[in-house]
Amino acid sequence: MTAKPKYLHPAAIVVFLTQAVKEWWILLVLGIANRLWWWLLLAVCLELIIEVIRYATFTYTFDEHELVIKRGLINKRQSHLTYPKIQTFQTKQWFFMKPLGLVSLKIETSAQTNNRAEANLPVISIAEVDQLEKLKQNAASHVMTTEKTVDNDETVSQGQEKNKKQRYQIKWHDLNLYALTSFSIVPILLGLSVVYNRLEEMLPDGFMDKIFESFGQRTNQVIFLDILVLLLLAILASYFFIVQRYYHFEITTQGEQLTTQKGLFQTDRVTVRLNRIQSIVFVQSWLRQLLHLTTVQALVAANASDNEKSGDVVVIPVVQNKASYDIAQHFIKWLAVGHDKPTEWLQASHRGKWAMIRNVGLPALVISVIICILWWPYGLGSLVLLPLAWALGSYAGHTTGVGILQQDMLRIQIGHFFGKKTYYLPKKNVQSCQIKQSIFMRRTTLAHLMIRVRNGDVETVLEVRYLPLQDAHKIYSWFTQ
Amino acid sequence: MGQQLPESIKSVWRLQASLNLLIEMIIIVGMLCGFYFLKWPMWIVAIIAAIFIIFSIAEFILISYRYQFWRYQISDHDVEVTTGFFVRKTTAVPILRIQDVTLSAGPLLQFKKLQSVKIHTATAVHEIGGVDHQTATSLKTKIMDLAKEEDVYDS
Repeated sequence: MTAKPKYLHPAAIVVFLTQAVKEWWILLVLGIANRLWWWLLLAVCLELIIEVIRYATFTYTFDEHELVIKRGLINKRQSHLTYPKIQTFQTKQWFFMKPLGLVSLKIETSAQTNNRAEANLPVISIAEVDQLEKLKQNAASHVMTTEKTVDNDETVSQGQEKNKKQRYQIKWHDLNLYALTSFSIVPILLGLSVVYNRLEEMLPDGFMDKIFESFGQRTNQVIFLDILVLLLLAILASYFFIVQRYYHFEITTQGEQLTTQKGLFQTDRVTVRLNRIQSIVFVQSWLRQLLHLTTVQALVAANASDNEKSGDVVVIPVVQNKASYDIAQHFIKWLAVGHDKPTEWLQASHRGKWAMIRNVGLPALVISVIICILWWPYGLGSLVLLPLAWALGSYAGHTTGVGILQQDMLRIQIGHFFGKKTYYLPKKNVQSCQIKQSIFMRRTTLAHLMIRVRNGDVETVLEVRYLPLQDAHKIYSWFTQ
Repeated sequence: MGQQLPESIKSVWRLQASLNLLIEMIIIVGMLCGFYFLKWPMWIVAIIAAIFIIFSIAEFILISYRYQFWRYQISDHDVEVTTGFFVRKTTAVPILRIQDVTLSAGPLLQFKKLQSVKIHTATAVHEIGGVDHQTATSLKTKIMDLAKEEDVYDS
């Protein structure tokens, strides 16, 4: 260790403080509401002291071998990270940090630590992040060169690809399409309900009741209008939320790294190693399918997404169906050129398709019969469920399928709720392959095929249901070869 | 296809089933006490007793089926495990994807000198119910030897 331990940028204190406010805001609001000024002052002073100590005890060092982070006053911790083990770099930059050239950095390794990033440097300069990334890349290429001696053919192609840089940036038009065709209105409505519950807990009793009384005096029509306005607001909010989040979305691949960058207020940048990508998924919701649009995602074997558990990384937010495969190829080399259709497409047999319709239809039938009995005759309206269930089942039957592509790759398509996901999955990334057959399916010689893939720290099971047994065995024996 | 578990696993399962039956009997006796002293309704006791009895009988009957249909096979590339009579599952796990192997034995398995082998991948656990010590160890060394060959992917 020759390098001198460094402190975070002093702005880190501000970041620590905002984190504290985020955690304790309820107490803060209560304190202000009850005018406990002296207590508040005391708490703030105490908090300031704690954060200054936290800042003063947090140091980091990095040299060409490892990154060391030391922190803690009483309970001292020291983490050592070696570069080859680093899986993802994630930086976040609020717009006000841009002029200062500062970002917050999260580093993940493959160790499992309850979904917490191994190293979290809340405020460091971009120059240092670049330096770290370079060090990491050097370490990675060092590993590569030792491998290269074994495999000569690959050296050439890798050498060529190394310098190639692929870049895709979303167009304003596409961004709008993406935001308009997203369904994030549902989480926003959920968020509103959470806020409402919180308000109800915190506000004095009767306050909410009064508001509702004022509602009660209005006519039904006015309430209906209110709800409509609320819905429109939610849609608008979700639209702006997505636009700001995917603003200037950009993806680049260089050498062995894939980097995505997005965000208006907070620039979010994730760097993943290409060989951590397990599978490429083309996702179409029913709405996007109607508009011939596709979202391209990557399943990554590392915590790379905002959602802590899964490893979904959006590669291309929205693109025309036809162009999607070609564009994805630029970034993911193993999506072989022009071979997106398998020679043999295996799907459920007629009997299997019927079974899928039955599986959705029977529960729908039971539900609508119960509703009919309970609310005769208005319950008859629930019979609408039946054709819907039929359509759902038959859609799933017609879209779900599996096929073997050249170059040891599987193409699996799964239909669900009028949307579909198409997975391109190299054989080496399959964790296990399973044929499942219940005693009733033995008579009809059908079987489910289940392929397990790693996604973040959890598994994704791709289930192709009701394949003819011999077709399932085809995939199985291809896999065990 | 594949290799069967050792015959003695059946007696382990039978012992396990008898132990379960014993626990169920104790619960039923307890409930009968509840019926006599605390005036619990009789029908609840009857229904639960019936469920217990049916499950125990089923467990005993199914032992031979479970034995018959549980197979495993280890080749150079993968481990294959087949289980189940009502829902038959055939699973292939490539050895290169195996992260670690756990050998474990509870008191019953120890009594019959058996060990269960659990194969962990990054996503799931697959189990070979019970094999004798020698087989378990050789399985473990075989799998780990093969798994050692390539860990470039996860570096």
